[in-house]
Amino acid sequence: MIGILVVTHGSFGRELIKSTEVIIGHQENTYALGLNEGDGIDEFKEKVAEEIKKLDGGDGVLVFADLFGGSPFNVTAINISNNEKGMGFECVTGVNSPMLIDAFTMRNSLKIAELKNQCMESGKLGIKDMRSEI
Amino acid sequence: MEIVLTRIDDRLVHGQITTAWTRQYHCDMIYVIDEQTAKDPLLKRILKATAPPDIKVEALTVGQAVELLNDNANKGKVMILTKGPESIVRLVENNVPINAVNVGGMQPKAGTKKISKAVSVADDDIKNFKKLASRNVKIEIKMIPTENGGDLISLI
Repeated sequence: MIGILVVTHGSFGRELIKSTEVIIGHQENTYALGLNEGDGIDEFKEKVAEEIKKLDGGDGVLVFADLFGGSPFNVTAINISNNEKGMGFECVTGVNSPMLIDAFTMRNSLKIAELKNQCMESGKLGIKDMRSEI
Repeated sequence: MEIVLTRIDDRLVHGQITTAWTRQYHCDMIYVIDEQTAKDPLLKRILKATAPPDIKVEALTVGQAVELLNDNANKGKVMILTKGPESIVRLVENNVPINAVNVGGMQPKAGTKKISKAVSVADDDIKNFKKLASRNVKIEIKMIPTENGGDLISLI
C-alpha cells in the first residue's frame, strides 16, 4: 500500500486527515507531521525522513505539503537524494481535501506516479466558483 | 550593488516570509551566504526552485560573497541571508558595508539559550552579535516586516 504523509505548518495536516476520515472512514498507513512556532527545523527534517521510511512498505510514499517553498516542503525535498534510485517518494504541495480523498481511495489501484498525477488533478478540479457551477 | 537588507533566518528561504521581505525592500536578488548550501547541489536546486518569483538567488560561501559584494560593477538591490551572525561578522571584517541586521529565526539547539519566541543563541552567537554591536551594527529581532521589532542586544 502506498504510504501517505502530510507535512504542514501547525496541525493542519493532522486535522485534514481526521476530517477526511469523517467522510471515508479510518485510514491506515498514513501520518501527519506539523511544524509549530519555535520548533527546530533540523529535528523536523529528521522526523520527515524517518516517517517516509516507516510508511514505505514497498510501494512508495506520497507526501503532501501545505506550501511550496515553506519549511515543511523544503525539508521533505532534501530527501530526494536519498531516493533518486528509490521506489518512488513523491511530493505534492497545496494539499486540500479533494486531493487527499483521492489519495486514500485510489492508492490501491494506482502506482505512485499515477496517483500523484490523479491527486494533482482532483486538487485543482476541486476549486470551483459556486456561481459558475449552479 | 546596494545591500538593502541583511537577515538572519536559519530556515533561509522559506515561502511567504521571504517574499514579504523582498517585497518590502524591493530586492532584485538574494545572496544566501551559507557554506553548506553553497557546496550542496541538491540544496542549491531546492533554493532556486523555491525562491520568490522574479528574484535571483545565489548560494555563496563567505569568500564568494565578499568578492561579489565588493565588486562595484554589480548593480541591483540585494538581500543578504544567513543562518547566524558568524558569516555577517566575517563580511563586516572584510569591509562589506552592513549597518543593520534583521534577525528572524534561530532555532533552539543543544547549548542555546532562548531569548525570544523564535530566537535561541549559543555562546558563539552572543560573542558574534556583540562584535557586530561594537561596530555600530543595529540588530533587530523581527519575523515579518509588519511586526514591531525588538532590540537583540538588550536580550543577551
